[in-house]
Amino acid sequence: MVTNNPINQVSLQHSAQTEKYDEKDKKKENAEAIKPSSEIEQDVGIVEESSKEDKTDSEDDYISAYRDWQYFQNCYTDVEDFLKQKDPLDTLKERFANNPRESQSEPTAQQNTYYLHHVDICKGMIDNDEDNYYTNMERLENEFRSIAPKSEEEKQLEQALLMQKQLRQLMLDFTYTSRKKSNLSSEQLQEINQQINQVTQNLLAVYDGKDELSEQENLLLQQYSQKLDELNGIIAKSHVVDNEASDVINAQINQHLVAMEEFLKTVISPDAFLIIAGNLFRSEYFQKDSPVLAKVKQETRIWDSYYIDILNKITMPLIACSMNYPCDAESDYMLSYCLGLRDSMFNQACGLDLEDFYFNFYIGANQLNDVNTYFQYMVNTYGH
Amino acid sequence: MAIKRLISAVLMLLLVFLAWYIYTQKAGKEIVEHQALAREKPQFTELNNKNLVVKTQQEENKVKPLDAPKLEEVVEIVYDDDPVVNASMLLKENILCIRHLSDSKNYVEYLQKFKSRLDKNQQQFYEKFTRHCQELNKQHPEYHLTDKTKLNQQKNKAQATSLWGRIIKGEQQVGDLSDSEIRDLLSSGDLNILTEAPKYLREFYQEVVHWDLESVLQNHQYDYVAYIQNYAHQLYLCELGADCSPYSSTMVMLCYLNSRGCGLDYNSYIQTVLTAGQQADVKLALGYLKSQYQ
Repeated sequence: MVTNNPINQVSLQHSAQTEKYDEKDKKKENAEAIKPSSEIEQDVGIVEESSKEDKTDSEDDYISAYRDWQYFQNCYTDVEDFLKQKDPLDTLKERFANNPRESQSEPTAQQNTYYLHHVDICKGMIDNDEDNYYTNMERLENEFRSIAPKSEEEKQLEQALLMQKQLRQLMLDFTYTSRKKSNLSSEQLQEINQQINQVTQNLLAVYDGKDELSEQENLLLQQYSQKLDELNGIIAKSHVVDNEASDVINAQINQHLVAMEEFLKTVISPDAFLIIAGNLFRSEYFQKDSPVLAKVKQETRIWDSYYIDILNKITMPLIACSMNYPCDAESDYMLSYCLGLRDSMFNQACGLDLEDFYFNFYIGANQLNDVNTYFQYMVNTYGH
Repeated sequence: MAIKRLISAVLMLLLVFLAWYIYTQKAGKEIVEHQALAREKPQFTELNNKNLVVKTQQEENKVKPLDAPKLEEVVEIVYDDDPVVNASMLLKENILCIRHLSDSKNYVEYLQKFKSRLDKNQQQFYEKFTRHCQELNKQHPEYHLTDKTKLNQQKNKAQATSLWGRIIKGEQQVGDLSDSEIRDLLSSGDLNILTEAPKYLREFYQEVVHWDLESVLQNHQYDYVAYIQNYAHQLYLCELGADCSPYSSTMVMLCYLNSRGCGLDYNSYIQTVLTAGQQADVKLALGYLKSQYQ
């Protein structure tokens, strides 16, 4: 059965968190950050119950369907486990055995509980038990694409995805035009290639069935070889970069980046923000900075391109959190850190929200000032 | 005669023990002090420059290494003018000149494209650096800077005469070395070894140095710690006497990466391009690396 109903807990974080951000509640959550597993199990139970209640409310929810599709990227191992009927906790145990970061050799009870919660999320998104990971991914994408965006935030997400697609296409076009291509017409190329074939056949005919060649035949071979070099040389010389076309596409890319930057100033959707910012503030190494990146460097005095990329990985999620993106202990971000779904696994991340984890463990004291500077720049420039 | 030999052996053992004792005391002290300095974390909302863990000159003097006896004098000689090591270093030190002077058609085209993507400041530096390489090539034709194949052949044909040379040649598997053998290599104080140590002793740097540095810096973002480690390692090489001038391969790469770095030596780059926080972390990481390398 194909359904448009986003059914997992990740979706629900959206409906829960689009309510006005309550700072007091958040602090209360932080205070009870690392809970005993029994409490977490209760929490997980509550989440699952509410998921059933909210099912109809979140029907046709464009953003929830998008987040489900994105979250499913974390489910590859789990789908494999379902198909092989392997105990998911064994998989987690194996990850710990190969995890050099942790001194602990096996997961804590808290990590086991969170892992089972993650497995439930993945299971909730599988329609047919026999479908593999890719089939499920494709179905989730189709479900998302079949929903029409309604609210302002949903429309912004659609717009951000479209702008990202257009930018990628322009980049591909630029790479293509930067390659050398022959400036000869297809007819001219065909004619030269025919000549090459003819000369090659003539050359092989000289050898045909002969053990020894006469002086005249050797001379003929030399002439054919020269002719082949000459014809291949014409083709080689005709390969040039179309600088004019490259310049046109480069100008289009810059224009598109300006449009993306303008759009960013109006964005209220954290999903749209993450997509646009991910493209705008990425450093392209060994080439001149885009105007957007040059402005970041000038204003923040953070000059190192590679460092800006490192800061992007911390600052952009923090901004998204401030825009009500799910950042609590059960969010995609935190489950990923706690269980090592995308990056290293951190026992210290389990049960914390993103801000607590970042500021009390993950980010070093000497990096905080730079994170703050970059964060403030984004807030002042783009109003987030 | 036998007694004389015995006395010599005992004296040698005492010397090794003394050197090891001073080394371990110093290393332990440095790590404890670095960790103490990095322990306090400011809150996000209260940040200002005062919170940065930048050591004062007084603190700097306090953790400055003692004049320990040179360990390389008492441990096995691991590098003694090995032709493999020499050839490898020649390639490494001049790799950017080799690329700039390459007459391979494909590479010339690649460089043209590369240059066109740089900004004006970087392009001007590119021109100056190319002239510098041409001059170097004239002064040292024996370097064969225009012929990388020849340089590689020299390296491949050379016979390794030291442990480090055998590691470079792949005749000695790094995985077969004991922990103390790796530490002997790192504490040899040899620029040739330390320059390429992160490449050949990758596992040690990933599994020991990296995790130690996460504790020293109290930072757990993998990429950030690895990147600070690279800066600190290079700073140590500069202190050992490596070429860190504006036309060194390291600095030219940094210029092409960050335009503000063009024309700077390594120390100036650290002070000009890195933020105060990055500089503080590089100092902490350098302190830790010194405890490993000395």
